[in-house]
Amino acid sequence: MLRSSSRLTRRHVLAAAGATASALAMPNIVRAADPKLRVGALLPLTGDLALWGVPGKNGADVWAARTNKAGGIVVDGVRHEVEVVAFDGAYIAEKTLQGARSFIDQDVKYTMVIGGDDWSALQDFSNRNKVLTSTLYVTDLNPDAKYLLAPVEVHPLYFGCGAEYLRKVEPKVKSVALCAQDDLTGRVALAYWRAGFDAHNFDIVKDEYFDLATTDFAPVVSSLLASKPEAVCLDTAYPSFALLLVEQLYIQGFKGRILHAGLELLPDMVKRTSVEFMEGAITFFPRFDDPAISTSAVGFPDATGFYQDVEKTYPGGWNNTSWEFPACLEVWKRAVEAANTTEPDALLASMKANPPEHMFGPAKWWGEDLFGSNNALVGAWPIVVVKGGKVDIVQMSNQAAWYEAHRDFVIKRFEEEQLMPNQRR
Amino acid sequence: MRPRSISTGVAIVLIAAAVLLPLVAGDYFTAFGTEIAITVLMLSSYRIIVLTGEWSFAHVVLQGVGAYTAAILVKDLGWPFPATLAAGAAMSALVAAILSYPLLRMKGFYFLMGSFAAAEAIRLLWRKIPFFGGTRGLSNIPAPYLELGGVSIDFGHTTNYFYLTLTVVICCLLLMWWMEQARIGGIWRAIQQQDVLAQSIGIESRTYRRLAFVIAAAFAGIAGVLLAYAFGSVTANRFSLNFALYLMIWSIVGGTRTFYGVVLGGVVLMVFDESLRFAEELRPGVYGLILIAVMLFFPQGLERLLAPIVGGPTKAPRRDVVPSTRSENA
Amino acid sequence: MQILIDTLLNSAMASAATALVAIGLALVFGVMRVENFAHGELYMVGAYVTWYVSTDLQLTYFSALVCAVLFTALIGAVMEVALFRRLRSNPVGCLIVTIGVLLVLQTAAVWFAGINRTLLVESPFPGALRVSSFALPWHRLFVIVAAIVLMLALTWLLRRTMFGWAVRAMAQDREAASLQGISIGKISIAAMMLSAGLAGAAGGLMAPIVRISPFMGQPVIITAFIVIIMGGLGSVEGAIIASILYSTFFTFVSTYIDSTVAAIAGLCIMLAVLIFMPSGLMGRTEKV
Repeated sequence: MLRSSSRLTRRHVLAAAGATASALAMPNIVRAADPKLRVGALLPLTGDLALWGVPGKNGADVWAARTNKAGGIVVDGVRHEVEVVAFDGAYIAEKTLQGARSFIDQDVKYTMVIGGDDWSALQDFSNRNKVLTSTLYVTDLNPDAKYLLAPVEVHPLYFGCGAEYLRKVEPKVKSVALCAQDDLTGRVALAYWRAGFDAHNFDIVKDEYFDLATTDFAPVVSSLLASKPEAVCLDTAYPSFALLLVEQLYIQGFKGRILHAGLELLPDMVKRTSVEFMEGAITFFPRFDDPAISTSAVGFPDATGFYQDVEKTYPGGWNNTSWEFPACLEVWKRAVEAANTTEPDALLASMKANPPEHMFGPAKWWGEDLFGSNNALVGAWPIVVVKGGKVDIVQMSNQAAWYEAHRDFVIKRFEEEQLMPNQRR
Repeated sequence: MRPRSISTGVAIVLIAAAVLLPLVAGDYFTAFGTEIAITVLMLSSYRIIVLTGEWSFAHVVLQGVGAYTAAILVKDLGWPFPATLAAGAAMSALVAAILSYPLLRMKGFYFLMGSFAAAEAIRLLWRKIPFFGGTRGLSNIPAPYLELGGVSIDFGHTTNYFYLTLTVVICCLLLMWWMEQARIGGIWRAIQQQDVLAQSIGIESRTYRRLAFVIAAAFAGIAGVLLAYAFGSVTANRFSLNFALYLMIWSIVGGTRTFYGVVLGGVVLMVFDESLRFAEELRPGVYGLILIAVMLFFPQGLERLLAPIVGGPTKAPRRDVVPSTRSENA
Repeated sequence: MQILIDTLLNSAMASAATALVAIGLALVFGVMRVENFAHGELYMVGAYVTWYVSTDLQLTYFSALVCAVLFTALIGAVMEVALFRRLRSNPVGCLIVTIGVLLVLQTAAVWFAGINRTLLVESPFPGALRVSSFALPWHRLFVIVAAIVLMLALTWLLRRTMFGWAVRAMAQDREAASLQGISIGKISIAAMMLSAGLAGAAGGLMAPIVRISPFMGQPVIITAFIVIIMGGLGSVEGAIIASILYSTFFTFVSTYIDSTVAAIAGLCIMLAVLIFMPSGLMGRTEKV
């Protein structure tokens, strides 16, 4: 696309604003001729999902500071500092699209979104303008999304291994109950869990979605427990929902394992329930205050030091997204240094030829069978279990292998929820 | 110079500025211009309802009806852009006509809450029914494409789509302006000011209120169609109560007394909103403070400040400019 | 059987929680004809104050609860004096400024405690009452009892005191009340403080059992509006009865069917009430 430099772009306006009002400390100020490489955090910074967006942006800032201290990013022998620019997409499609446009004006090389609603309006724009984007939702991938990557988390692929692990540790458990909020996040997660439960001979005795506006979870849990499940899966209920669901499970006398992707609010869950109640809950995100994290998160430089820096800069603000977005950046950094370019097409080609190392070790490009696109960087993913009120990694699992062994179950359950690429409306 | 000619002049300057926008601004501001144009259409159609003395929470969902209609027709049946535009307007008008039977039995606050209940129920059904794409909504809506005698225009380009939107919106604004000048506009005003009086001189107020509600919905439907193409996707979340609240806030802060006020108000507010971006998480609070300040110091909206320039009605301002929400029930 | 009794217990809890918020909203509408959209945020502020006083200041839960009531009542008084009083002739203006207040309070909470902090309030009544296989946590029982006490106290205040007489007179006809020598200004401040204080109390009571977030008031206010419309706008008794009916209905539908269906059904009920029974369960027919 032709862009004459005499045109007024967001960058010029921001620069002009910065000259006149530098005291305002605008975060997006950009100087025209600096050699910095810019990456964009297109995340919800206001509203309910700011709970994921703000820690993600903060984590990315800390990552950039640490990367710059360690020498920045080297492209063709030239050192570049990296800078994170943020735009509040509010998890609304059109605001996100607006943000993507502003990133073009700011010459952003790589954009991060959560995935789901915010990606839906971005796809066409991303193709037209070659906006290299990372998502945390592997289900955003489709044959037409040429510049979309799922470089770190491939939610919900780890759930299959979760079901396998549950079968391994609980050989006698038969009945499971499932619930999640009624949106894409919930439906994708439960569809994959169902396939996992089918594959490992569990009976789904109750399966329900609750409305996003739900405040009182007592009725939801009552109807779950009425079916007498031996394990309850809450994927992927948003963190605040999960806390209230867990509390209700405790109050209403549930005894058994709880399954949830993040258990983001585990310390609160333990306070509201008990150490014994949470014991054995299966989840998929390790904690970073565990000194052993550096040995499992091999694709991330000094995970422990990173965690400490985030805690120092943003006390109490740590969240799983605090490392996931930095991990997306790390994959990109490695790919850029290997390809010696940030140009999307060349970078993609080089990445595809030599898959960069994933957060949890070696990985391959994958996804063609299920999504019609091989843009998911799938490697090992930890299975994590609550022990004494804290989480510990119990094993690393191979997500792609699980899928290949049980693909028919997944496809059946995905078709049921109309999640296959050819069913997308 | 007469006020009329001044305001015509202002209108020409505004349109000229809009036409020149893509030539001086980058894609970001051009796309932003498209959003402003759609918002202006929403605000000025909302004003038709406000003219009859009611505030509605359903307007944004009626916009959604247009958006969903267009998205389904173009994706499933491959209808061309003009056909979806007409269908979107018609479908919104139809839904509004059906809703108007229960809703127009209410007034004031009851109407406000009734419109919320009906609209929110429709919105939840979109999320619930797979035909409407469920919670994911509908995406990959192809951009309009014109192929005429060797000339082909791809409206997927920001600038082209901006001109298309601008053309549609200006046509709609002219149509609304013309309606307001005609007898029906006077009747709407009469209904707002004195319902009983209007009836006593033989105006069947409910019929005209219904007409206003349906016409406004048709324009909202057009705004919805434009929105669907602009973003290539439609999700139910885009039509939630929050957006209805903001529409109401903007029309009040901008002012609804004059036709120009609402257009200028929309432009000023969108630009202002964008310039607040630096405040990030604190943005809603800044908004709240402005809202309170405007209500306290400029209860007739910011258009009062602009009135001397564009020459709105020069009559003495009415005391009860904003229609009452007393809990009256017809 | 288990599920039926569980659902009844859940309904009792939901009714108490809804009623606590709805009565304040009904009161202030009855007296001042103001639809206070910021009422849910006053509830949120009550929870935040309770958290702040009981954790950062390390006072007891009950003193925190008192602080929450006082603080929200103060906000209520400020809203009345600084905003509603100046917009008396402009009812839509009042509605709009409450939306402004809503945004300001939400942002203040984000600014004050951050968006991602987890705020936990310890209940003074840990543990649960257990009878065979049923469990009712003591704090929930405490909320139900406190709600009943507060509602009885409010009903007594409105029915048996001079203040209540003045409030009812104002609700019926403001001008006539003014001619009777009732000070509109004083009664309005008192009603607004009482209403806001009730919201604060509700927030403080619920603080140990809900997740405290800047946006916690939003879903609550919608339910509260549905309930006061069902009960008859401005009728406190109507709001109480409607809270019980609506919450029980909602709890049963979400348990036995699904909560989106319950939400849609709730909206349809509100619409039906507006169409067929515009004065609600207990409201007076309004004159035009």
